[in-house]
Amino acid sequence: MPRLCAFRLHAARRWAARRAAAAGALLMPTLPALAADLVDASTLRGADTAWLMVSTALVLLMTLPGIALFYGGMVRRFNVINTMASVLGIAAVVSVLWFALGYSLAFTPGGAAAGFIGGLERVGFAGLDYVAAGPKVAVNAIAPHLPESVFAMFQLSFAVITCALVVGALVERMRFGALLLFAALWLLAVYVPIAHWVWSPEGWLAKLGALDFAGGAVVHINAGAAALVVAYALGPRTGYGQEPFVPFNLGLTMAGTGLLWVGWFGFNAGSALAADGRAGLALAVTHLAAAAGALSWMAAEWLARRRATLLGLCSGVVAGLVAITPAAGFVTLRGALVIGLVAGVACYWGATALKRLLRADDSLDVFGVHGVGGLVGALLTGVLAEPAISGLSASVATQLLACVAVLGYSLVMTTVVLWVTSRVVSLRVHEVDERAGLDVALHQEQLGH
Amino acid sequence: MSATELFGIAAHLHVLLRRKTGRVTDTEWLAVNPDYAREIVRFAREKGRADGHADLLALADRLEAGIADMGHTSPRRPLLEAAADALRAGRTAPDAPAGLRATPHTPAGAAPSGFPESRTGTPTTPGGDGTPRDNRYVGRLR
Repeated sequence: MPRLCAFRLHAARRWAARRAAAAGALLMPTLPALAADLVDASTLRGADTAWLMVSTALVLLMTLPGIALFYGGMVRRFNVINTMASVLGIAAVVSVLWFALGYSLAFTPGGAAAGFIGGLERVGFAGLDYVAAGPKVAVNAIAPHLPESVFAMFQLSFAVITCALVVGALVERMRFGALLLFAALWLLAVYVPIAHWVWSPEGWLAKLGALDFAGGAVVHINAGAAALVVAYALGPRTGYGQEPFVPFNLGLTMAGTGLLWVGWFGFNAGSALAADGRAGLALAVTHLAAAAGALSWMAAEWLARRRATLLGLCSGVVAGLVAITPAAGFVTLRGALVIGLVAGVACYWGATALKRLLRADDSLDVFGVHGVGGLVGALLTGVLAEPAISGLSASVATQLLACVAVLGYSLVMTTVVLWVTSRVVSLRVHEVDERAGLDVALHQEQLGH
Repeated sequence: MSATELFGIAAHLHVLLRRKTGRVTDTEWLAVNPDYAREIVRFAREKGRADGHADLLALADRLEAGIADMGHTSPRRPLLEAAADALRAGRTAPDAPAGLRATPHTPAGAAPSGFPESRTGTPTTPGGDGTPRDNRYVGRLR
């Protein structure tokens, strides 16, 4: 997948090969084998490794504490601890499962079904070796210039935030144990296959030429679709639509937004898997799209309701960031401006009118912002991608196919995962616990006065 | 009872309620709003009787005695704020265009503003408890 530096070369060669073959020209050179190996450490690139380590930390900061603060500020006072605990618990579960199974299935070569799922060579915490003699270090063929430990950690941070995003749809009513079980199953049954389809060079969507630089489909459309299913499955919160659900502290939400904005530089610019000019452009377009998203959401809100709100500005920032995610390594600054402006308005519609239309208590508007923003970004990538930047041309039809595939798979498989989870443990807390607040009912903790 | 005395009683009650019951009150509002004061008096008496806090009962009595005087004393206003209001009123009064004299969003009892930017005030004024009135968080967050 173009998100991965080595695969950019890989994909560019394949793209060129298709064109050359179509023109009856010579075949391209044989592509490198996709196998993880121990290599001499001198073959690694220090600057790229350092940037990926920083990016990994930035993306983890988006979740811990970015998402925790962002969501924690929007729920009612007596559910803040549960919301933050949900994010933290998911991060822990996903981290262990990632090295136990998820990473291998997503990013190592697969067998007969390689287009749909990876292999087992890194299962059970295997690999990521470093041998002092030499020294030798394990690398993944997708990014042979980086230690595999760094590559796997960077990918882990994406898995963590994708699962954590879903929390926004289920807050204030889901049992904590059910949530952790759901997150574990969802990671393996939904996130991992989709990551393989799009980001592994063997993935069927990658082979079709779908462009997703940093996760518009894998992270945001996927999380948005899952959120919608969870919201329908759990049903609305008690009192939803009848009494005001006043957010605990929008100051926390603002702090979370700031962490998300800054962390997104690691998310997008880190996805170049190199400290180079394309990463620099990804960083710049990310910032511009965030600003444009904030302005257009604010304008839409002003036109509709004659007011500009802090929550609206925060939401607009996130909308712009979500929409630029699939496009960050493919578009110019002008393209990023367009994407941000469109995303702000589209996500405002998604979080208001579309939400009413869908009649789901997607409590913190995960589908409205991440689902809609991801769709807008993925489709506009097909329109605005500049071949001179990446060497790749985009197709709106292919982008649309990728969106539909990811959306459909996530909707169906999330339903299955929820059903399986509900067979093991009930999903929803009792009404009396919901009324009392999940902080006390589930955790025996209080925020304090 | 003067506003200063009322404020002193309210502050004292605020501290005692916080220490003895964990309840947090709005001291300034308690000193000027009869409804809020009556509710806090009721709460202080209830807790005072239940838990045996005589000092709470005494303060509740003193606050209740001052409720009748609430609203009859004008609260002190910062000098700068008073000067700014006077300036606005002076600018607006004789020669301001008709459209600037009173804006549709000027709260009742407040001096009409002559500053153009004040005309862009929000059409939904907050309710008495400071929360928006238009069902802002009912069935939707954004």
